[in-house]
Amino acid sequence: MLTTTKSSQGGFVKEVKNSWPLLVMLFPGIIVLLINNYIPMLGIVIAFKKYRLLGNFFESIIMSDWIGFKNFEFFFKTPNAFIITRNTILYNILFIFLGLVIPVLFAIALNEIRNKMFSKLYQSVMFLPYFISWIIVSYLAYALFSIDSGFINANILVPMGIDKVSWYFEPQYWPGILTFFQVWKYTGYNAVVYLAAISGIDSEYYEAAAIDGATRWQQIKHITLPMLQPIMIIMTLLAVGRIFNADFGLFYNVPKNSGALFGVTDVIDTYVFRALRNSNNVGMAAAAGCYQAVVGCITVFTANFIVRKIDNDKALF
Amino acid sequence: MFKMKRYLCLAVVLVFALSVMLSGCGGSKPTDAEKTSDAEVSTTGGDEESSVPKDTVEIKFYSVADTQPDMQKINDAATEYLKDKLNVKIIAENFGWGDTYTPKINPMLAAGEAIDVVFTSNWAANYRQNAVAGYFYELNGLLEKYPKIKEIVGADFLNGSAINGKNYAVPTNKEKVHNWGYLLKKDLVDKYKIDAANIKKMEDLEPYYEQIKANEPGITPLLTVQMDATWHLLDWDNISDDDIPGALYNDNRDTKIFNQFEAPESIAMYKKMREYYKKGYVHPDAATQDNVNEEMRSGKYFSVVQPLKPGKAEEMFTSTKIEWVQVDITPPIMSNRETIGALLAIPAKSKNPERAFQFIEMLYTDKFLKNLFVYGIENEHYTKVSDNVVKLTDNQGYMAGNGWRFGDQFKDYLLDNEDPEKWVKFEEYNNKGTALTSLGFAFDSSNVDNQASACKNVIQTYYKQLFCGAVDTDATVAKMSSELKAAGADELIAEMQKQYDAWLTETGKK
Repeated sequence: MLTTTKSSQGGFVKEVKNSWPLLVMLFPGIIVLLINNYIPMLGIVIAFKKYRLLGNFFESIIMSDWIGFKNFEFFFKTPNAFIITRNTILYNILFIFLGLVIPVLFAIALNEIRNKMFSKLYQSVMFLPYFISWIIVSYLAYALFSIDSGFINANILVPMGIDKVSWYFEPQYWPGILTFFQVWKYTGYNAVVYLAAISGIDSEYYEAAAIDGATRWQQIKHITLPMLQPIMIIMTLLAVGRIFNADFGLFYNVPKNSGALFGVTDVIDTYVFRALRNSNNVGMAAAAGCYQAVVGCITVFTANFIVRKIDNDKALF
Repeated sequence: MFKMKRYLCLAVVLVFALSVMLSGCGGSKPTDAEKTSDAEVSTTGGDEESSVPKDTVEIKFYSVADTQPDMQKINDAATEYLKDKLNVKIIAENFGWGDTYTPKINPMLAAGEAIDVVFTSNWAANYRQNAVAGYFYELNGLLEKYPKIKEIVGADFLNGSAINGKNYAVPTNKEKVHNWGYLLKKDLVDKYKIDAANIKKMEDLEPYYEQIKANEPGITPLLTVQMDATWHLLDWDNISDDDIPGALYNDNRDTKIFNQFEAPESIAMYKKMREYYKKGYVHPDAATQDNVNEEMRSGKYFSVVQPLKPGKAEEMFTSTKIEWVQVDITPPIMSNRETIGALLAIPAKSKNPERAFQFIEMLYTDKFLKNLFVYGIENEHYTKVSDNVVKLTDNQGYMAGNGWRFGDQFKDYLLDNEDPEKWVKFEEYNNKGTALTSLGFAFDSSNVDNQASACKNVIQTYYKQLFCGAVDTDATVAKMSSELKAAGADELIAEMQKQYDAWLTETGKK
């Protein structure tokens, strides 16, 4: 893209002339993008309106009263806005970090296994949790943490003579528990991405290194990791772009909607869902969605800006 | 340059592939449009009343209750039955209970989908909010034109569900009062020789809780699941939803609205439950359990607080297969809880509101139609024992039941395990209740929507653990109070008081 903007106007016209068939083929895609992604964005005005049914859906949107930022008040009225924004961002930063380090370690380790059958077996076993729905994970967690009959309380703590822990009322354990399940579920999936990248590395590098007497560790440090760097950056940037979208399934289902834990388990998505599922207030739902989108957008641009400052070629745009 | 072209090529291919995929998804749209235009054409000429209308129109009828495998059979039977009466094609569907029904119906209403008859109440697809938002068709004109519903339900009860004199829905003709009390597991009542008539308040059960805790391993003395808890024994006259602050006492003592979650009676109740929790009378996992029916079915509980009415224990036998003894605690009361507890509304975007209303009227007047939607098809889903008593068959294709959802419940057949005098007792029970002053007052939350939503969020954070006693009372109440204050509970209650005072003056009750 940079080449286009840098070249003169004439260059652009020439470019169009040369590749017009390709550009024509682009049109259906652009139209779909417009209809699916850009036109619905106009719906953001609902966030600033007192939505009432006054005709069909579009007429209602246009004719409803304009109330400015009143819909946003419910969200910022309580300390909740700060708590859930903090939770959303801190959890996601932690998940991004762990989602980078742990899968890369596993991918390298899996790659080092010489027996292909075992390598495949480990890979499949690690991949399996990715296919388990959060609802089922929440029951697995419940089987571990149920206060009365959970495995940890009934089979570990009590036989050891330790008092039962009321897991679902004690917030201090939950950042750890949620992180554990997140890592458990996604490590296999992410590891496969890195594993694929590793197998794409030309084996001649390793052969040359081996001839020069490089140890396994040196090979990993000087060949594998540098070669993985581009994909690591892309994966991280993509994750940063979603930093304001919490994993609803994890945060809603696994803590079993226990009020005592909201201080550490409530994120924007769960808060909005709970606040609005009964009240049927379209305006407030749109307001919360708008807040999430705006802050999310700012985060992506900031992240990309920082990456570009460090290394211009690695930025997304 | 070469690199850029390569990327461009890739982008084009991707976009193209995507567009093919997406256009595949969009393929069904034109048929939808065709359908609606058909329906529009067929609405013309729907105003004949005396004879059967010549055009067939679709009536979409969405209600609570579990989804039934044989729903299509019921729809076909209803369509066939109504052919020479209303000439409508019935498309009825159930969408589960409150927590699954509401999130499905609310967006349909907000988007203005053409539904014709919809179940609404104070606990599912919130009636007042949706009516005030303009999602329901105003029925006053139709109620004048087709007066039978008014005659059956009674003008007072009907007016109880009106908002500023306008009816947006019609209530089921059923029990018109409520009271709260316990259901006790019958085998344990017999074993410990408990005289149900002697139990007047929650403390009267404590000696039995102690015995059962000591002698019956595996049985939890008291079941509390979410709002189904002893908290209901206080029976606050809630101004808005059950989880929104703002209530009156249930004995007409004054007209001052207050925050029921911080009232001294409530705090005493939380402390009592804390004591029970510590003694092990309540299940340690109570705050994370969410299905009261499932827990009751498990047979592992001695007592549970439920809304009562004549024959409640027998009714619960059908869904739990456990025998219960009914113990009344609070006196019967007629409040807004009943008048808007189960209603049918016609969404504003219905294409045939008049025909839809005629259909609703038949649910009040036509015994065959009403029972078809409650029990299913005769000799397939139930068999007749006598003229008015039926026995369910083993066919599980249609088990919607719950005749209180719509129409005239007094037209329902009785099950063979039910008291043959059930409907007579219903009438007696209805006459026994005292009407609350607030009956008919409808709070319009539109000025304080933000505060109401924020307060509801706070209550949902704390009520479960307070109601089952899992946490220290004083510390939790203090935290809840400060958060409610920040959420604007005071403004909310002031607004309620303002509207209530105005309404009292207007109706001459003050």
